Order: sequence, then C-alpha cells, then structure tokens
Amino acid sequence: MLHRISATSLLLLVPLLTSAQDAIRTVNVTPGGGVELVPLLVRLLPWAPPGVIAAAVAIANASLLLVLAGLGTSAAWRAFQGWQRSNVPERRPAAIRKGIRRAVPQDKVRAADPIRRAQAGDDEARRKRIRDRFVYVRFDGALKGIADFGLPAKVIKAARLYFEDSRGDRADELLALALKHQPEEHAYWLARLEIRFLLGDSASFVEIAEAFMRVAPDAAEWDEIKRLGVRIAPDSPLFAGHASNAADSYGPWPTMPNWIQSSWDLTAEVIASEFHHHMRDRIQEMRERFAHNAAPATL
Amino acid sequence: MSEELGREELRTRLGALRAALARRDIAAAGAVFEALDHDLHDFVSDDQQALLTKMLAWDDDDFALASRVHALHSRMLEAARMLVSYSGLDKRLDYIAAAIAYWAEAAKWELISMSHEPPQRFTQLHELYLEAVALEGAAHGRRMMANGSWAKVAIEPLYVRALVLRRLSGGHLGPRQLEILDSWLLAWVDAMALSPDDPAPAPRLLVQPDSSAGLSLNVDPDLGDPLFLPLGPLKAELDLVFDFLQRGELFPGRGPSTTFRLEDHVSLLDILHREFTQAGAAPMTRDARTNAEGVEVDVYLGLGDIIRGGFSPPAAPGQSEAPTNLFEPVTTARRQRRFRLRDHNDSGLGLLAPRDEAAALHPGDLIGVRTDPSAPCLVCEVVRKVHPADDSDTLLGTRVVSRNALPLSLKREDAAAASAPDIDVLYVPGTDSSGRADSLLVSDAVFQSAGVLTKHDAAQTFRLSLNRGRHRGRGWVLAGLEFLAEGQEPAKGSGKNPKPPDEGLTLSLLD
Repeated sequence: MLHRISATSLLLLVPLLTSAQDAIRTVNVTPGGGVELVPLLVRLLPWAPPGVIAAAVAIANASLLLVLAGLGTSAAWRAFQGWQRSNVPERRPAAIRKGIRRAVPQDKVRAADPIRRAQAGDDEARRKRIRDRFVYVRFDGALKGIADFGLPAKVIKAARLYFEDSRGDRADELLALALKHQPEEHAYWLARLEIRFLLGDSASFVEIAEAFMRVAPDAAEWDEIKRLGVRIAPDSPLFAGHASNAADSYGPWPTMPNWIQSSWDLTAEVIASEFHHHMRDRIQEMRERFAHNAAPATL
Repeated sequence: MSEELGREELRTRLGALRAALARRDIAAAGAVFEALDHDLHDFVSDDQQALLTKMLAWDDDDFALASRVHALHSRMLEAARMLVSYSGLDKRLDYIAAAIAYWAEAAKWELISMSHEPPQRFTQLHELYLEAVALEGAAHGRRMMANGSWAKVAIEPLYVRALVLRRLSGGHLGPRQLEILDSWLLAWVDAMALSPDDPAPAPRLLVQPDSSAGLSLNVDPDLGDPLFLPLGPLKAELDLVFDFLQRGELFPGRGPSTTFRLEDHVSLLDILHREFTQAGAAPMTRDARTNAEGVEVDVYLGLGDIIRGGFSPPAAPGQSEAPTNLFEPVTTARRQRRFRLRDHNDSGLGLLAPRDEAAALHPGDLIGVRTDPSAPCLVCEVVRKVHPADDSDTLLGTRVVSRNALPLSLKREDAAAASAPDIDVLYVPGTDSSGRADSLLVSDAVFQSAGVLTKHDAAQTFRLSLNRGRHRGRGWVLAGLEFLAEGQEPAKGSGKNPKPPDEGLTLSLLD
C-alpha cells in the first residue's frame, strides 16, 4: 500500500517540477549540489503571499519524505518476497491452482516436486507388482510378469500349450494381452490367427486379420494369411482377391505355417508315451499289491 | 476409542434400541437405529478386516467373532424390519433400504461364520422390495459405507446385490472371495437393474418376488410375473475388472477388499465369467449321483497327507501311523479322519464332514478319499462347502482330480541340489495313451523351484520339467510335463518356473 501512495505523490509532483525547469536554472546551487527551495518558489509563484509559499515548502518536504519512504518500503517488500519464495512453497488461490493443474501435465508437476515424485514412484512400483503378479497368476506361472511379453518365443509357447490343453480362449487372452504391450510384434498377431484357424473360429479369424491389416498392411505373411483366410472365411472381402488353389483343399498342406512354433522334433513325444506306459504298469502293480493287502513302497 | 470401550458402547446402543422397540417408542428407536446405522462400520470394520485377512485357519475365537458380526447384522435387520412396520410413510423407505442392506450383510456373514442360525429367508427380502415398489420407492437411495467411502445406493440395486450374493455363495466361494464379490457388486450398482421384459436369448437370470427362492434360470409357471436381471451389463463391468488388473490396480481401487491376496481376486474372475456368460443357457447337466447312505470313508487332507497315507494300507480306526523316523515323531504321526460319503458319480463325491474337521477346509483344497479299503485313494478337489441349518455335518462337494494317481519320488538334476531330499509328487495319468495329457500334482513351492527333475528306474531314466500349470488349487498345482532327451536343456523359461513376481504382495498392500 505504501509504495502505491508514494507513486501517486510522484505523479502529482511531475507537472510542478516540469514547469520549474527554467526557474531552476536561475537559482543558486548550494555547495552540496542542493537547491534553495524558497527562492525557487518565489520565482515560480510571484503572485503568492508568503503563507502560501510556506505551505508549498511544507507540502514539497512531506512529498519528498513520502517518496523516499515509499521507495524504501517497496525495495524492502520485494526483498522479503524474494526470500519467501526461496524458502516456502508458493501458495496460490484454489482457482489459480486448478488452472495450473489443467495447463501443466501432472507428470511435470510430480517431476518438479520431490515428495510427489517419490509417491508417484511408489505407486508405479506397486502397480507394476500387481501387473506382474496378475500375469503370473492368470497364466498359471507360465510368465513371470509384463516384461516377458518382450519374449515372443516364451509367450507363444505358453499360448500353444494352452491350445493343446483345449484352452484356446486362455491362449487367445494371453496373446491379446501380449499385443496390448507389444502391438508391433507380428509373431503375436500370426499366432493368434493360427490358433483361431485351428479352432475353426472364422469370425474371430477375420476380426484379427482386419486388425492386423491396419497395423501391418505390408507384412510379408499376408500371402499365407490370405491362403488360410480363403479356406476359413471365403466370403470375407479381406480375402476376396486371393485365388484359392484347389490343391490347398485336399490332402496334406505342405505350406501350412507354424506360427505357434510347434516342434518338429518328436523325441519328447516319444519319451512321454514311454513314460505313460511305464507308469501305467506301475499303477497296475500297485493295485495288485493293494488287492493282496501288501504295503507298497513309494515308487 | 479402545476396543473394549467400543464393544461396551455397541452393547449399550443395542440395548437402548431393543428397549425402545419393546415399548414401541418408534421415535426413540428410530433415532438410536439411525445413529447406530451410521456408526456401525466404525464398530465392526476392524474385526471384519482382521478375520478376513487372517491367513491361518480360523480358531474357535475367530468363529465366535464371526458369529457375533453375523448376529449384529441380523439384529439390525430385525430392528429395521420392525421400524418399517411401525414408522410413518416419510421414514419407511429409509428403513426398507436399511433392512435390505442388512439382509445382504447377514446372509454373507452367515456363510462366513458357518452360523448355526436358520438361513436368511428370501420371503423377507422379497416383501421388503415389493413394499418399496408399492411406495414407488425402488429408486430411493440409502447413504451407506461402500468400499471405504460413503455412497448413495438405491433400493433396487441393493435388492439385486442381496440376490446375487446369495446365488453365488452356494458354498463355492471362500470368505475373502465373498467379501470381494460384495465390494464389486457395490461398485456395479448402475448395472443392476431389474426389468419385466425378458432379454433372452441374451444371458439373464430372473426372480419371482412372490416365491420363496432367489435368482433362477427358469420361470415357475405357478408363480407371479418374473423380473429379469440382464447379465450383459454385469459382464461389461467384469471386463473393467480385467482392465484394472492389467493396469496394476485391484478393483474397485479402494476399500477393504483391495487388501486381499490377488489370487482371491483372479479366481473370482473365472467364476463370475462363467456365471455372466452362461446363465441364460440351458443348465449344465450332471451325471446322476448314487446315494451312498452315509458309509464312512478315510480322508486325507492336503498333498503331503495324501502321499503319506492315501497309498498305504489303511490303518485301523483310531490308530496312528508309525513315525517314519525317530526325529519327527510328532510331525509325521497323523490322525485318521473319517467322513461320511453321501453320494457319488463319475465326476465327484459328496461328503459329510464333522463341523470342526470341515472348518479348515475351503473350496480349492486337495483331499484324498479312500472309498475302497482295498484300493488306493481317489484324489479330489473341494469345490463346494455348505453348512446345513441344523447342527449336522458340513456338506463338501468334491471333484475327482484322479482315480489312478501314483506317488513318485523325483530327484532334482541340479548339481547343487544333489544332497537335497527327493521331491514327493503324485503322477496323474491323462486320458489318452500318448502321455501328452499326463500331469504331476505338486505343491506350489515345488512348481516354482522344480528345475529339471529325474525319475530313475531300473531300466531307464526320465528327465522332465514342469512347463505349465494345468489347474491350480490352494497350495497345489496340477502341472504339465515336458520330457527332455539326454543332454538336452529345457527351453528357456520352461525348465525352472519363475519365482512369483511378488509373493509378499499381500503384506505390502496392507501398508
């Protein structure tokens, strides 16, 4: 408030000082550089009685004091504000804060504030733990967490095992979730397409193929996809331009893709069959021993 | 307020409510009821939360506490029903809403506490709803604590919440899953609207409010017009739960249920998905069950007990097994448990278990049942648990996991584990002879840390790894196998199953 009053006083003095420029040149200057005020006023206001001159001198002195006081207070106030800003978080009215919230992205606000940045870090770490745990539990331990979506071979193998266990829906859910995290990964799109083809689900096959077309219209695998598409959904416009080879429809299909990465090596299958028969014999022995009331040792 | 002071205060207020109702001082009773209704959450929430987050089996004190919670909600329900009868029109809808809300709470805690009280009657619930409809107040809101904050919920969604809770709590859900389900339903109030129009063939359930039953699939032609609950909107809400989990949040984002284990949330997803997508279809057929007339059978609880006892000749009743070595006589001696076989078919057994034995059993537990003394036990999973209204035994519905399991001892191939003890598992043959569908029943801990396992036999050594979980229960996994040739390394990520990303998640979420 004070510095506003002193500024008003200055404005009032301006016309007076301006008109006195010539008069100042004619008056004596003191050794200290000052101006003798009374002779100056007598020259400026020759018609004025002595009482008016005295009053004008008093007003001028008071104005000068006000100006000096105002300038001093203003400087002190600014200095105090600067100190306050450097030590205390700035407080603004709620409406202004809201405006700032709208204008400034929240991540930048968080980034600027160490406490909020730490809290945001905790929240994000907690969310990551839940996401990872969800993936681990939902997909029966096949994946460790979200990071495994960056390993297409691992994810596609887990999906293939679901498919082989007659859990095609869970396989599709896994691949769909993988695509949410890695939408550019062609291997996931192709594995989804092959599983839908093997399940004979033409509607889903077309839907996934259309989505893949939007993502990768120039993918090298489109010939294969159309070959499958013509067989499973011949009426779909997406595959309309692809000529169906009659040979594709009969007998074994040598160019059938293997996007779900089935193994061509049958060693594991042979061992699995041997193990199954071995165990079957053991179970039979156990049952016979039970029938004779003999205690079977742990096999 | 200390715990004891809180209980004393609660007793005082309930006494005042009972006294005011006894002398038909409706104004005073209404005032006490409303204050108690407002503060009840503060009185019971800590006890409820302590019970539901307890990971160990409940002891007698826990059951007593759960019974007190159930009794409290039952008393509030009765008080609200009396106030509905005696109060003026201006307050009646408030009390109807309160009564329906307490009906649902009482029904939920009746199941959780294994209450000996008669079950909540649907006729009470239907009468309250019909009275609200008659007063054109089905949309009347009740201010209540829902998922940790105050919210206004209309009478119709409260009615539907009670019906859905009761339908889905037919013994298939554990205490925590019931609480999670309730929290989800309270977050889905906008999706729970009844309609006189049948949305079939879209999935739906129906209720006939003049009946003594809850939600069902089919109309009883002898009763009045049904009201339909379309399940499509609820399915859409369920999809949001998936979105929450994929973002790393537990739905609904706040409230006590978000402190429960993530496994409880995830297992509920499948149950609700089946309910919301198939309920409108024809009911699943089940093979006829043969009545077994309560013949006694030996029962083994848990994988370890099954392996130790289920494949040895049965001990005489009351006789303990001899300890396997002198250093652990206490831990290995087991008590013979005998349940009664109620009925059975190819896919499952119905068992009647003494209440104290059944207290620690929940859906998802593994049990062995020896129905024939001259044969090894059947391996079963508990899928349903129902407490009869009278004081008789608890009914356990079980699904047969395998009739031909075989105990095996496997070794870890890992050189560091050479001196480690053998791993005891159950071999579960698949339905075809190729061996592709064979599995091993192992504990969670073994599944996570198995690595490459070997089975040495006289003529051959089999190397194998556990490459996926085909089915999971409480603490056990039915794991698929991958066989390895000599010298072959397991495919990346399949030899040793990953450690769960955060087994301590529950604790950290409680912080």
